[in-house]
Amino acid sequence: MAITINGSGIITGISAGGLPDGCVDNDTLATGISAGKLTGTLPALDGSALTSLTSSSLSGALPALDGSSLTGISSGAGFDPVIFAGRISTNNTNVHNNSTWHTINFNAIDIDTDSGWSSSNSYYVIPTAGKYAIMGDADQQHYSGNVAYNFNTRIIINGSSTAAQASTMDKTNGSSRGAYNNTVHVQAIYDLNAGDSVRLQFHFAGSTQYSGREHNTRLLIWRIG
Amino acid sequence: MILTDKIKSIYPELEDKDFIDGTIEVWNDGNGGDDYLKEWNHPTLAEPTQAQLDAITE
Repeated sequence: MAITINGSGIITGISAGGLPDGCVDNDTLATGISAGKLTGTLPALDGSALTSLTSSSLSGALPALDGSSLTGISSGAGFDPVIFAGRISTNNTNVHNNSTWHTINFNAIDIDTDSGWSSSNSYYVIPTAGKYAIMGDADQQHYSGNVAYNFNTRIIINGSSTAAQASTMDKTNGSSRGAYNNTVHVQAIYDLNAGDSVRLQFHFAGSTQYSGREHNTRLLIWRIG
Repeated sequence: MILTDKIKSIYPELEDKDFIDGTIEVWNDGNGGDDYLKEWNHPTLAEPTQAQLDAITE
């Protein structure tokens, strides 16, 4: 077919493939190319050139992502766990003084992710600020009869503030009894700052007593948020 | 004589509950040290002096 250039600027007579390779540049392409013209196997595209991708455009099977590339994920308990689990390792036969709040010095530390336990001070030091769940069990035994005894356990924050306190009454109703135990449980959730201290204390309003059987006296602390 | 008994000896009107509810706090830190008076918040009774406490023997 003969190539014709008419007076309106239209060239006719060019067959498919009739132009030299590479002669159509970006400026020559019209805007508004329909998606139907881009079907089939697309060339490999550089992802850095893609913009304005919405999350809905990324549904379905995603490629394996390297977590180190993720941003905007806040740190928290699930990413940086803080856990402490301490207990008394053997039966403690020390006789403690009555009407005195005794701070329990845990001598068997099963878990201490951030080395927060201070044996010299008998308390746990919060390593990072956050919301913490605290659970304490204090096992106490007395070996006198005939009177009612009040066993108390509490969680102390920073040496003065009581986060939780619990007690139980043990009454013998006038009959003499041998040694026997009570385990008093306390729980609390507290918003704590780094450096705050956590103690577990017990108290016995009666005559001589001691605490606690192995595994029955323990302190659990973990960050929940 | 232990510290709480000395305090009760000076003030016989004190009750066990006074040593639980924060009115009087006697602590032991559980590290081998002695008992000590942590807080004295009694509304009418004055905190005993060390001399008063030391004067009480078995």
